[in-house]
Amino acid sequence: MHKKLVVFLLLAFLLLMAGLSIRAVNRLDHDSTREGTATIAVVQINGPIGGVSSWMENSSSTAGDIMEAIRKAGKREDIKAVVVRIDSPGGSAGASQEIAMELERLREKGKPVVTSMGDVCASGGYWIACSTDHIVANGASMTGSIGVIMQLSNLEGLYGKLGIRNQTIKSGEHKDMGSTSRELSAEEEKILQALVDDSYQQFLEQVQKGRQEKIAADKLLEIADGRIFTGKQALELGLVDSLGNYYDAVQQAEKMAGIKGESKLEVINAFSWWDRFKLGMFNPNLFQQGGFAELKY
Amino acid sequence: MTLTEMVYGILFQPVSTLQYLSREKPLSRAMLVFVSVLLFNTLVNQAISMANIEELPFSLPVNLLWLFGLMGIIFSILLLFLTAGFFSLLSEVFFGRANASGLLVCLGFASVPGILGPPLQYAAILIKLPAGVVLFPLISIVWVMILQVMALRESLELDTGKAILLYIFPLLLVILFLAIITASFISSFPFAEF
Repeated sequence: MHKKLVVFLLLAFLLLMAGLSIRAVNRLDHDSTREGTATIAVVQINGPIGGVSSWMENSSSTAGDIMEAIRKAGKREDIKAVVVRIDSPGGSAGASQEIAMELERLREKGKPVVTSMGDVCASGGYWIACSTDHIVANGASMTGSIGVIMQLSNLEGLYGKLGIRNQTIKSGEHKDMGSTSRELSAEEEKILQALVDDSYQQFLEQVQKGRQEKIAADKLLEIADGRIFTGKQALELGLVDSLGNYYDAVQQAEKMAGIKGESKLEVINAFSWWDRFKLGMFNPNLFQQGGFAELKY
Repeated sequence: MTLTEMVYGILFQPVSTLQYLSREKPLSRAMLVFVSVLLFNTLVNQAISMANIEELPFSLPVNLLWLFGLMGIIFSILLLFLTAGFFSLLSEVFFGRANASGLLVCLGFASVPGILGPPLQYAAILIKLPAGVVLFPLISIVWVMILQVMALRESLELDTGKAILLYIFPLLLVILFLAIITASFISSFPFAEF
């Protein structure tokens, strides 16, 4: 009995400390250097933007997770504004559009949304930034890359050398469009080009909508050829609103939300301790997914 | 003996418990205890490390802590097997007694007090007790070391002096090796000669 009690007390202490440890590991999503009554939510978008991720993969740029975080920020009354911290070179067109749409809905609820650019906020990342009220970039942030890209590989020659012969049974002429085992036909190239052009047009409309009166349509057309800009160049062109760091973006969000004094910061889609454990185990860069015919911003 | 009795015994009646463990060799339970201690300490050590890290909320250098923690677990398990084999071999060479599997089990259970160091240290951080931050893990390490010496003594049926000698033998080897390296390094200096 005595032995059991000692072991029970020991276990109880260990469980308590384990609980406190898990809580501490998960509390990394709070910036302990700031205190206040109002909360500013931070939604982080790091790495290539995509629609899905496997259990081994880990990036904070999965559309589903980010949309969920934005919705959470919209529902919580203590959250007065949102800072979207973007450090992404872009990614899937559909995923970027989904996230941007959710941000628009959040703004409609009256919560200001400010973008804080990290090292890179280009292409799909910039698409998302255009759906926010204010964009803050670092002088050296890489941004722009307004354009659409689709890359296909023809591995016909390699298959031949390896003795692999693909057989395709299809219901329609273009069902295997983009197949790696044959050359694209001229008609297929036209179809895909039209797809890319349409998507590009949507991108232009998104930038025009997001940067109204900040950049002229003809000027936008001139620079929207896929080139990238530094944050400083982007400010001169009207692609961003101001230069500054993460905390300047927070300050801007506070100002827009009418928060007096300092606010609390909460990273709403921070990694859980289990995500961190997985990140430690598996380098996400080694397991990136990529279809041959994915449309990317 | 149940697992509860073994855990209690290793903490409060180590001699008789180690004698039982070296004789009965409950390997799977020893591994369970050893890995539990490692996993628990990895978690608590993350919290301790984070208590000392002031970082921006969007950066994740803590991933490295998890990676190191995981590598530490794998390395520790390998090291446990290597240590048991190495000490058993040394004991056979020097004293003619070997019991590698018994020693493996005893060393596995000897890690139990190690589970107290990090949580007590973390508790000391939380209640702001600076002395405890240093002392608690130190006490737990010394406790584990004493149990390891006792594990050598009981599983290899040595006297305490021989067990201590065996325990510090790898350290003596390293010191000897370093002394030889240093001596040869110094002798290669172009000293002025008269």
